[in-house]
Amino acid sequence: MMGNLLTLIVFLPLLGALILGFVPRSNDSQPKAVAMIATLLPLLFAGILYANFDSGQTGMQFTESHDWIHIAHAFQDKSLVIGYSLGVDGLSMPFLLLTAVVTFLGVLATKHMHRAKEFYIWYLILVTGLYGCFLSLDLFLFFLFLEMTLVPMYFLIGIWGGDRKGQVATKFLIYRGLASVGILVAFVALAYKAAMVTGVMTMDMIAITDAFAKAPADVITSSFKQGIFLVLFLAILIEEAFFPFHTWLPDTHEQAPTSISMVVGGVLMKIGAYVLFRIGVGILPDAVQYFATLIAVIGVINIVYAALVAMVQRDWRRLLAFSAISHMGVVLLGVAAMNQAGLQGGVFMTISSGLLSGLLFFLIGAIKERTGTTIIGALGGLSKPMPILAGFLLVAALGSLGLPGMSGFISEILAFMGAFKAFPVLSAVGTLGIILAAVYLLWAMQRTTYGPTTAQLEGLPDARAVEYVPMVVLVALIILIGVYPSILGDLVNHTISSYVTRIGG
Amino acid sequence: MLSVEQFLTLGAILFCIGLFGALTKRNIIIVLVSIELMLNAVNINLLTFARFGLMPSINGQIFTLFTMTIAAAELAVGLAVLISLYRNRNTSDVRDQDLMKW
Amino acid sequence: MNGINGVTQLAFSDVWRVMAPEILLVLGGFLILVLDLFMNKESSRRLSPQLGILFLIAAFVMTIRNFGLVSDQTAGGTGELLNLSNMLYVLDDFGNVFKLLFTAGTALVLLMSIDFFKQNPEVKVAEYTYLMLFATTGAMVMASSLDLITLFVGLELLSISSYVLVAMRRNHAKSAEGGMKYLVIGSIASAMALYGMSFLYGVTGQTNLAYGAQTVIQMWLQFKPLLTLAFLLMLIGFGVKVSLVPFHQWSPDTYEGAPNPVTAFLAVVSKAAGFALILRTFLWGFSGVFGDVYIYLVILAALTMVVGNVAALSQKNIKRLLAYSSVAQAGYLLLPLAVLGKGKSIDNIWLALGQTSFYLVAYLFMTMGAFAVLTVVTRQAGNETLEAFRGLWKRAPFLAVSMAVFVLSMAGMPLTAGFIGKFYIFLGTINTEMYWLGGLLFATSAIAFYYYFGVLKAMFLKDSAVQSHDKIQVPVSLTVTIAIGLIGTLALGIFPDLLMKFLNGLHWFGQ
Repeated sequence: MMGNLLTLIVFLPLLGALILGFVPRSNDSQPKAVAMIATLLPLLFAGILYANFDSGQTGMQFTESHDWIHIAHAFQDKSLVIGYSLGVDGLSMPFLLLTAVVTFLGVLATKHMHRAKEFYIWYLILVTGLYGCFLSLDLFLFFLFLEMTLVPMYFLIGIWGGDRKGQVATKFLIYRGLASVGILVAFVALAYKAAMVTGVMTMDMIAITDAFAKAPADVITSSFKQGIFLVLFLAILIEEAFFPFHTWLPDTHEQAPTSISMVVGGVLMKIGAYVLFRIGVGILPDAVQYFATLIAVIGVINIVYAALVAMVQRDWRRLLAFSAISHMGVVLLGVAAMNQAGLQGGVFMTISSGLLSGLLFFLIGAIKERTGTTIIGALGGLSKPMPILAGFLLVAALGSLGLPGMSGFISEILAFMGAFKAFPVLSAVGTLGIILAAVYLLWAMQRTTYGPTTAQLEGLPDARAVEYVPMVVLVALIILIGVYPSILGDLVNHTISSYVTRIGG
Repeated sequence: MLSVEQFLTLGAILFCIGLFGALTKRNIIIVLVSIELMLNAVNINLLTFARFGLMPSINGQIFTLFTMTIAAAELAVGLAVLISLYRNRNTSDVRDQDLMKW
Repeated sequence: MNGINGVTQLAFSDVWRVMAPEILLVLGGFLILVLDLFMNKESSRRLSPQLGILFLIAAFVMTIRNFGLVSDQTAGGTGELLNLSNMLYVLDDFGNVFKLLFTAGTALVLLMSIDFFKQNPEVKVAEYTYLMLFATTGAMVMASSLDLITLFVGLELLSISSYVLVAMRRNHAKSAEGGMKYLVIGSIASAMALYGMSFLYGVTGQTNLAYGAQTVIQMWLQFKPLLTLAFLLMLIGFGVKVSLVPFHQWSPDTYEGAPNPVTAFLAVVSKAAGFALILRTFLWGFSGVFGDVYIYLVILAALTMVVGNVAALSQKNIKRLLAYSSVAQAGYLLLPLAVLGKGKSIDNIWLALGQTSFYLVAYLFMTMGAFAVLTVVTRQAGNETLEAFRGLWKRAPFLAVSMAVFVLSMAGMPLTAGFIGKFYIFLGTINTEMYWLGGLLFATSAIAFYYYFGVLKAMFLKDSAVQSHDKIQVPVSLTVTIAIGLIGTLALGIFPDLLMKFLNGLHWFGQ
């Protein structure tokens, strides 16, 4: 049973999509039910895995591995064997849980919409892609799942998006398509170099990591590592929507329907960070160290720039997108520090930002559903007609700007603690972002919830019972991580320290 | 006695005239004739090499026979297509072949 | 079987051993030709394509038999290929793989044509069918011959038949125009290639590639410019056939003007034959000096990938779009050969052959399927623009989903054959450390998303221009073609080992 749990998690959503293919088109509630089951079951399984997870162990757990593709003569006269292999370790476990929670809540958050059946089909395919990215132990498999997220996203934005949907969907596709080119080039180059060390060509992450860890310097030169890391880093910058490749993200958030915004902000966007941790720090730590200053500078630029841009946004969704970019800048800063606290802060920030984005985009979606707008200037005095939603929005905004007791705070503390050791000046500039975040979030909050209620907003309904679930769950998780950080820390600590020791040695 | 170079030069000149004509002439018949010129340049080359080459052999002459035959077939089909074209469009001018372009 | 330079007696049994598929197709062609003279018009129309398919299947089966012959010969250990007349014509798995492709491709084309005949009563069916068979024979000769003369004859047999096939619709001005353009450019290309061959012959004194190769190595230092000229001229000539940039201008016009099945034939069989010719000529004739000439191939491949994909961006006509897309695919297909020249990577030759074959098979499935869908959709809409695909998901979900799979496969999305094919080719570029070329391969694919997804956008995102919700009738022959394409594309995408295992076990050049 435990042996195939990961496969079940990855492919149950896809199975759901297949089943939906045979459901008659007219019915609206059936597709949602199927989608709910197809995302709830993986959530439960992920919970089971978490309960059985041994956080004291560094390696992969619950692994599954089968040979899949044999490519002869790929390396000299030896074959490249591509495996179907899945597994979880302390690093991917939080991402797995994040995906499970956000994608399930995304289904709950989905309102009645036209062409519902197709919507859920694409949604479930997307979910499979996301799970696959975090669970793959084979670089080829990872890439395959990464590409698999592209097509559904194109349709999800293109069919159910806002007024500029076609253009934005294409933009999303081209940006992320180009990003995956860099990732693929880097992956295959890594595989070949690893093969030169071990003599066996494989795309298995663990094997490549080991090969790089023990490779003599004349086989894998540091200039090769640096070159590959630059390619990979460029791709990550696009994936993560870092300045100057960030423009797809605000557009996507502005145009995508609520649940998709949640998934993009909560999970999809975090794949880049995962690659940075897993491949960048995991396989090429010395290259990361070599470019640490560059990474830190880019991180700080993003923290400050995105915060400044967020201040002039008129649309909540764009504001939140820039706020997320600013948060991810903190991740870069933490990674650049390359010490226990910094890396841990990076992971914390990624997860925290995922949860907060999910919550915030859900709330804004709920407000949009009622008021028909997300323009900050058009809203006002929401706390009167809908106190619950406004209250949760306030909680989320406070979490996002780093109020102690919530996940954002502990993440920023950890990341900056690490970063101050390595880059005191840059980090000091970076803290500016925290102050700016307080400014733009509180300003937007104040405009939205307080003040006189405009006439057309009067008498709008507050949160429905079903809407409590996403809000409460997400807020609970955010506070849980905030007050009891070791629930997350215990998971990642061992993996992170194994990375850190490798840098030291 | 003519040298190999002179034969090859003749071939090259003929080939270039043919290529130039095929790419610039307006009338399709002239274009087809130009292509024949190119093929004849090839024949001259092959025969030169077969007789005066580094390693003379009979193969070049055989090759020439094949080239000639195939050139004839190509021309025949070309004229047939040209007639069909002319019936449809009443022109054999290259510049008028503009139903499709990007 | 034959002495190196002695006079040899050809027995029919020898010929049959080596050329069985070719002989079958020629016989089939003539049989259809003769039957057409004696039968009434109706039954000839009905029978010819079926007979043609039958003979193609027979040739396919004989080719499968040939794999066995090759492995027996290899196991025999004489180290010599099964051949006729002093390596004039050889039997090896390289040729066999291509023959499988050609026969399967042409069979699918004929299957698609059955519907085309119904729609166009003025087309002479028997003529069309035997021309297809002869063209396929020409392609087979190109894949199996080792002599410049025979290679050229095969090339022309394919080309001349194709010219006629393109211009087949007599009352159709575009058809004649496309045919004429193809003929003129094709003939110029042949002349160029021949001129190049004449120099190769001049320097080596051989028309045989197997024997000439040694001389090329010996003469290389002395006659480098002349041999390079020969190589380039041949490359231009063959490049036109497979529509490499900048020799691709004929292809959009010809693709648009030709009847749909013939376009599919040109895109798949003719192109595959061109690659067989390129691989055969350059890998045998120039393998010893490949390191000095490969750079031209690299440049052409890079140009082709970029220009093909960029030019496709602005296309509104779906056939022209597929034409430019097929130009781009030619660039991908040239890569495995092109990177072989770098350093000592000529050792990767078996990888390169596997890559080309795999991609060609994937390309066969997706292109055939796409053209079959295209035929149905454009006919119903009455035009060939992207508009014809608008709202297809509502009118014909099966067609829309199939087309989506084919288009995604061309774009190189995972779980389709096209992705595995591209990844496979990509491995070779990284293996030779030409990272930029591999990057370009996938970067141009990412740019190609723009127009491929334009098709998807039309099908799924837009509503139909015409408010007709009547279902589209799909003829049985086209349904079968689409289904084969669909199954092939998905099967190779999810279980590539089905083909990989087979390709791994081959004795490409008899080794």
